[in-house]
Amino acid sequence: MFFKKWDNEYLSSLMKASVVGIHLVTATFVGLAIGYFLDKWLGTKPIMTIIFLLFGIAAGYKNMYMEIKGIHGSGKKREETNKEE
Amino acid sequence: MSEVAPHVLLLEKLMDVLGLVDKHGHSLVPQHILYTWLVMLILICLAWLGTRRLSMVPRGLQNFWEIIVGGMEDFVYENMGPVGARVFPLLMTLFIFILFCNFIGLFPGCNAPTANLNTNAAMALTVFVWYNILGIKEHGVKYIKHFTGPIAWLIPLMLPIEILSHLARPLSLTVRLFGNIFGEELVLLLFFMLLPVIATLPIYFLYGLADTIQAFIFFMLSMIYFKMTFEEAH
Repeated sequence: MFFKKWDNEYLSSLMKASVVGIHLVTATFVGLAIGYFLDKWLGTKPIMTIIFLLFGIAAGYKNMYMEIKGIHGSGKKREETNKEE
Repeated sequence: MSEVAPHVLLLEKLMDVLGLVDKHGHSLVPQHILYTWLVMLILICLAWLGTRRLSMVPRGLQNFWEIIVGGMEDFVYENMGPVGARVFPLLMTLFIFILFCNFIGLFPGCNAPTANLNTNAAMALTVFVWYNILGIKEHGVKYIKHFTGPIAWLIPLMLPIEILSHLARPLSLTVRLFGNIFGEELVLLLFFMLLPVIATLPIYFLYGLADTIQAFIFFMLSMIYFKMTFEEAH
């Protein structure tokens, strides 16, 4: 209904683009928090923090990659439908 | 919020008048809970008034609900397919609730319940737990394939990364909504202190738009998570 016209154009891409940054940051922080508390629990001071921080950063970039892929995919689809018309 | 910039909150005053305060003069119920109750009351009343006399040709409030619910239903079905029917009630409730919570913050003397981390965390955790339950119900043991990635020898690397990126979802849902709405409230207050009434008026248009977009982003991201849960693992 009222979203249809917008959605197929730019709204969906705009929404996806606006969450890219925060996905990168939150994944890193979750990794850091898990590593920090594992260290506190196991008493293996810097090792777990470093490992899980790296995992968190990797997860953040993976999230970002998926978002970008989504935006790119919808852009391509739009171009194809435009050509068909 | 009231520590940062002092302002009058009507419901807190009401609790004060009713005598429901502890010995330090604080309200017994935190203010974000009070405003959540207010939003619930408004929504229940609107829903009752809108569905009281249903007719084939909608009039008044029924029209309003049919436009919102119908439009969102189309959107969900278009994106998710027929499985959308299983999660649409939750998604729609979240959208309407967040929308009204955000908008109630724009009224003088009121505070948005979504400007508090607890409200947002409750909603985000509900979505997180529910999509995992649905995934396990839908795929059984195979749900683990969502976390392992496509290549077998990369599993030890991909498993923690995928689990972390899943755990980051409720956090990002919570923090984004909280940050946006809390910032809005604070800027409104500060502008009001600088130049009462006149300075805040133009910002209302901007924040009306931003509030709607935030509610919609929460709705859309939850929908995407549910959609990914129902899909077969790649």
